[in-house]
Amino acid sequence: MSATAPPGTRTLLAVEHLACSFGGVRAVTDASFVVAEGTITGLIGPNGAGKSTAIDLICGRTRLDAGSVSFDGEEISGEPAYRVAQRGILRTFQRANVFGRLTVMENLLLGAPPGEGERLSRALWLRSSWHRSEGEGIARAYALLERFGLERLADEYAGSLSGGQKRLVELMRALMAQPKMLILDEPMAGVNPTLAGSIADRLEELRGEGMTMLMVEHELRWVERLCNPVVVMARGRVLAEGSMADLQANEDVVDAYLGS
Amino acid sequence: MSAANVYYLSGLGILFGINLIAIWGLDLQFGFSGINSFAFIVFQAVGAYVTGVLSLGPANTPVTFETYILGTRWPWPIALLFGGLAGAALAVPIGLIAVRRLRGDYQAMAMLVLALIANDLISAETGWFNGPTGLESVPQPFGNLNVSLHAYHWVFLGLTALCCIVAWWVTRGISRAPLGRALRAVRDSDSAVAALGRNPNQLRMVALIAGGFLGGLSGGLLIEYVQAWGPASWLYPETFLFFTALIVGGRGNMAGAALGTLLVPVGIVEATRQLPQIGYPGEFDDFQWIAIGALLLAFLWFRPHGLIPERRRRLRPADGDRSRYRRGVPSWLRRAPTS
Amino acid sequence: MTMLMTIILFGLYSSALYAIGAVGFTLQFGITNVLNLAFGAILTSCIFVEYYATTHSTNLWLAMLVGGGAGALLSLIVGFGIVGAFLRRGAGGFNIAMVTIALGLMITYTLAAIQGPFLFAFNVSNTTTALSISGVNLDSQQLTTIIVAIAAMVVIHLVLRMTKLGLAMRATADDPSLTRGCGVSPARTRALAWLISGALCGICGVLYGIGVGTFGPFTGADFFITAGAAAVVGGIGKPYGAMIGALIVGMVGQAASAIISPAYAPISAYVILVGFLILRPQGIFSAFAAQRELVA
Repeated sequence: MSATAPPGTRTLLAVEHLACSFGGVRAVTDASFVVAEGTITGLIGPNGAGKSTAIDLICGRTRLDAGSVSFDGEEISGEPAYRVAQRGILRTFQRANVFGRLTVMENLLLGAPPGEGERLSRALWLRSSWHRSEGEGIARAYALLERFGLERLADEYAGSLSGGQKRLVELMRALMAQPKMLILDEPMAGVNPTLAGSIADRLEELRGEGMTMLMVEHELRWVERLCNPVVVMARGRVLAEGSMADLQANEDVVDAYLGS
Repeated sequence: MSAANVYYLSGLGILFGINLIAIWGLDLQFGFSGINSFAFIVFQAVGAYVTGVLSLGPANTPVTFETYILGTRWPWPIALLFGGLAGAALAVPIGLIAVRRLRGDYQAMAMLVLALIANDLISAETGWFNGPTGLESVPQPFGNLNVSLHAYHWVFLGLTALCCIVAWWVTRGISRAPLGRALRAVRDSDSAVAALGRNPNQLRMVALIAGGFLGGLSGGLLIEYVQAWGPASWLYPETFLFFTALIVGGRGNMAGAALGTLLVPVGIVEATRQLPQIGYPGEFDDFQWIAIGALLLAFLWFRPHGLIPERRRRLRPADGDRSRYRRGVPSWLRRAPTS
Repeated sequence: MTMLMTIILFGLYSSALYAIGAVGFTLQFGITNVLNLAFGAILTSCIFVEYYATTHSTNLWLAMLVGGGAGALLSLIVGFGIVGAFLRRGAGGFNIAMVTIALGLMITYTLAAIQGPFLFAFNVSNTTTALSISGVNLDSQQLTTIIVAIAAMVVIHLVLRMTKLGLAMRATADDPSLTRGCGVSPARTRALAWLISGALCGICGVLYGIGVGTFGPFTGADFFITAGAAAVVGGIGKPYGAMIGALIVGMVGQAASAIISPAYAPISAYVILVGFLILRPQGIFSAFAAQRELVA
């Protein structure tokens, strides 16, 4: 099933006929959907529907068996994960993926795009070439921490944080890159409701600033609050697409959630 | 202090320096980047061999029964540099075989097997580096100076110190730069590094090459000091001497590596050489290795982070930066938290 | 024809040796998830134990009993005991690898200290030809090795497929949390895995030591290259794969030795190993290595 963006909006990300199998199990069979610019598009579905696999396929973490992915008009299928990220698509992971042995500040600094300081030649001489951008990065990271009210965690090792705090660090780190699009894999999972609410507030603010997001989420109340449109996947395919109200009226969708 | 003791101490100083360069190199590969570089001794070996064959001059095979490749008589600084470069070059095939796709224990095993294979190959292929006998009578830097043995030690100590400064500059440069941070991130999570636009394999290769250069440089210095090098000098356990130094002293930081170098290769191995000979010649070496194994186990149990753990880096914006940056910050970053 | 028969018969002999060792190594890794880098050291100690305990006996059955027993015991102490203690303390993957290295070093150099500067040798002068095809002779010791290897493979197969323990072992290999349902406790499964792999290691060691004749403290380390190659080829953690891997490494080695020169037997093993590491590190029968995040 192929989809097009609602009239009046621009498609930022388009995936068509994605397919992928692991060891005989077909995780994604034929998935197609689009993400329109400026929206928070939800991606929901029962367990095993292939949502996280679809994300991995888009972001280049898993190899595509078939299908294509295009971003901002350019074909990006099959590109390795770091190339996809360099295009401005930043993602978070289902299990909080922070650098445990680095401090929170260092984690955030790695969110900024790789600069001159990460080249061997510049590390050895010409310190001036990256000294300034490093200072700016530090200022930006600290400002971001203050924005989220977490500056007291600046020097804590990320590995010692609570689950919710790790998720926030991951989100802030992704924001440091000033992405064109954010892909969030279950950002609310295992986070206490208060913190989740505050994350939801931030996401709404980001959307207000024009950020495009694709969000996989299980807890439907956050999907209802934040996402429009919503894509439903089941058994490796896209089942339906539309607003939450449309989907709740859709029998196939209800069956998929109850029947599986 | 007697002349003999001074001579002995300067010798210890030289060995400290040579080992320090190698251990800093291993720290770049393992401590910073998390590569289980169980074949590290081969980097030192290739550096020693290449420096040797570039300094020895052509092989006088009919007379000395030696065969080896190259055999030029280049000045020692060039030979030494090329020893380092050989170590850096070796990082490419080793990276291709054991770093590009392998992780964890499997990588460790593959590296170990590579070290075994390398030693077997060089022992067997007599044409490359004179097989099991190895290279001998390698000329020393400033060898034609007419100075006493004791005075020459000071000359070599100076040379070693110079090379240590180079190693210090390389290691510190990487550690302090954003590159060092990226390397330390790679050891925690490949996938997160890639999701942030960096190629983890390329970063690992940088660490492998830089560490390999230092390993090779260390080897070049070593062969110029002891003037001989053969397969028996670089059996697979030697790598673990360096690892023990890092685990005891503390990995991921230069001070820890230095402390470990002082305590392990220099401390245990050299200082205990003063004790009387037991049993057959070489038996004492066996006891040293048993002690190294025991020391390793003890630290892995009681203090796996080593004596000097990695230091926590505290980063804060300079005052000027903070206010300046706040002005240029997008609105959604600047707004005070609403909840 | 003679060359072909040479390759086949001696190839079978080499494969037999590699198979016993490689299957032990890979089976234990598959079940306990610990890569035992002290494997070579344990192998060598079994040869030493047999040498001393039976005063250089070359009676293979006695040797296998003593060697296998020593291997099982040593492996249990190293693996279940010491490594187990570190695991219970929460030590991570790299630290465990270093523990096995440290233990291997201590064992190897204890043997070296005992042995002194001389190589030991078994007196294998009176060999009787047991099998002769097309003028190629296998002596009784070589034939016994092949038979023992085949028997061991059959026994392993039966244990894995037909016993509760085997089921528990296969379950642990797939997912450690599944074992509780099998009726055998996870700890017991792991202990038996170390025991069995240790016995195989010891049997392999004595057969190898007696077969080659001379041995020293580093014998096991050298053997580890080829046993490791067989395990890698078959897919690390997969015992059936290791059997196939051993066959490949053994046969190709003998073929290289017969066709090119004897020096090329070990070299062909290196080429196969390195080739697989570069092109297909998960081995012929993959899934396991990828599952445990050992291969990117």
